[in-house]
Amino acid sequence: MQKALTLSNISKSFVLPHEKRDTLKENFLGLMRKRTYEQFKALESVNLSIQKGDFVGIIGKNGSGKSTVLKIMAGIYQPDSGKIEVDGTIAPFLELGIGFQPELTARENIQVNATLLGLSKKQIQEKFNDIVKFADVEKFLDLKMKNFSSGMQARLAFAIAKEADADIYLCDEVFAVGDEAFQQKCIEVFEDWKKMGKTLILVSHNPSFITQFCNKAFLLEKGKIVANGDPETVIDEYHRRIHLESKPQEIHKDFIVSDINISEVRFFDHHGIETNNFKTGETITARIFYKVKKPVKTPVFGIAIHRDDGVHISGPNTKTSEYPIHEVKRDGYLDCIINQNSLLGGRYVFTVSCFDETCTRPYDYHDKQYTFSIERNRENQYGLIELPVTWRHYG
Amino acid sequence: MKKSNDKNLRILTELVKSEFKLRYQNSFLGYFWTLIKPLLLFGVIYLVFSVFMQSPIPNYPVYLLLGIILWTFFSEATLIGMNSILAKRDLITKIYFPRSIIIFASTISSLITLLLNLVIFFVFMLISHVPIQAEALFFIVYIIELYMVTTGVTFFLSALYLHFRDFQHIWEILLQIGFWLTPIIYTVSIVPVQYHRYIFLNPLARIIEYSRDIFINHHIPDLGLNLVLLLMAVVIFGGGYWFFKAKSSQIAEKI
Repeated sequence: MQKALTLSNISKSFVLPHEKRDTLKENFLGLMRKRTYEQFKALESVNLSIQKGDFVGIIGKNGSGKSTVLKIMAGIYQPDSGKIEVDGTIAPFLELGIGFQPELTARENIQVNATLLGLSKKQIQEKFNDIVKFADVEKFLDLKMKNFSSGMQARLAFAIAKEADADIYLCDEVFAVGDEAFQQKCIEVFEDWKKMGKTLILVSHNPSFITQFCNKAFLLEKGKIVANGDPETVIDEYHRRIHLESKPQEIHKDFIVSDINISEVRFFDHHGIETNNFKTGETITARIFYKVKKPVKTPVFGIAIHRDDGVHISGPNTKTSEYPIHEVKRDGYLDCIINQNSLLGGRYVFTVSCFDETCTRPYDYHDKQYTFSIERNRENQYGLIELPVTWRHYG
Repeated sequence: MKKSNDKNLRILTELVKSEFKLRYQNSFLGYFWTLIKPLLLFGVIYLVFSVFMQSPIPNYPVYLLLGIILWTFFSEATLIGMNSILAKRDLITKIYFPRSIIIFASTISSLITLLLNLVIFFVFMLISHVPIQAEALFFIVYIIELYMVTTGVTFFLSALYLHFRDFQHIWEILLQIGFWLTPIIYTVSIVPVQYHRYIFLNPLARIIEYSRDIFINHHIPDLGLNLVLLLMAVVIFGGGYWFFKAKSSQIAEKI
């Protein structure tokens, strides 16, 4: 395999002065006071190597250095130390754009930006209609860019970057704006790039995009690469780290009357074997263990299942399921059996709670503290869940 | 190498075009303004010095107009040019291309304005019955040197401006002072000889004086003088470019 892009030992820090001194007067007066700086290490000895044809995802929390890495790859920032080797041309799509000039019209901006991306006059002429059509801005060509919505700007920027015919594409949060139709178009473009053997480096907050497209992923934390390799594993690690940090929700603590405490949740498959990995259609048993300090009458136990990107899938409780528990007197457990689960492949987070009869006073609440995953067993899965459908053909 | 030069040239062309549109699209008279501005200044100064004060310089209007046009180019090009990096921040933070292209695009846009102003100057010469002779061709050399000096200064200023944002006001004041210390509304010949060497430290003074020599006296200055001016232009251009290059890796972070 040929290397497309290699970063060796890249470090980058930004100097943040405690007082901003931009004018001469501030600089002059400042001479008498000692200036204090804060070194913010955006990246610390980052090593990564990307092969031709790789689709690479970079994930991390805000401020972890994702965008800085991309800007260094694009040549916009110079690293303090380290070496970058690039083989091929790069087309960047950073922070929702490729840099439009607000006072120019869309037509003029296409001209300027396509040139910046390396297209010749002739190529721009040939591709102009494709760009306009893809971005869906036919009617607004002579409108100044400042009057475009952010979604339209991002669409146009992506349409131009797409035509750049580069070897390596850098994409920072392509999906953050734009409607679903646009996202679908982007996905099709990614598929084309994959077929053409292009290299894509994708930064996203949304782990499911990375597992969907990438064959390799890097996890950045505080400017360092803390995990890399197979996207599923890297994203597991990402979630693990987030859960380590997230504290139980304080807001509920104040109200909690801890007569019942949930001690833990364990997952079992239909053989009764403890596991966190299931398949679509399998029966999942979530066993909720609790401890009782004082007997409680008619407690309501509930769960919530979220997909890892935050989409709330379901939230049943013993009251809505019409399974009243009359009284709990001593420690025990409760099984929540998800029959033939219809969840699609991916990672899920599990919340469990115990409320009083009216569902207003919580006894205990474990917000998104447990995870399980569903194996991706088929290529084509669409949507949130798999509904049990039957087809009937009359013809 | 050749490929990237081609690309940079195309970028330069596009940026000059868009720069031109941006400068003039929002004003009612549009491009006309830039042509009128030096003429208005010329009109007022002519009224004061030639009509009220009876300037003894022969062909004073031609002297004056040439000086004003060349000076206006220098002051406008440096003022707009030092701002151009900040004005193009949208591009700079999103995509890499050699940052010096932005400065070149800005000063070339100003250069085009200068050339159009010079057309007015030549028309004016015809009206004033000052013949245009073969020596006038040497003026091209001075235009090139003027462009080099202006661009060199702009490189220097735009790099400084990123660190000190009020440098623009300081530069405006320096330009005001420069306007009076440069032989624009007067000629060096009326200045006592002992001050000449200070005046000629200023390359603009040389360019304006030598150009007048060509057009009005039909005389090309000595080779020695021309070499000194060339050296000045090369040092200012090279120094400014080097300074800008040294600072340019940080541009995207500073804006």
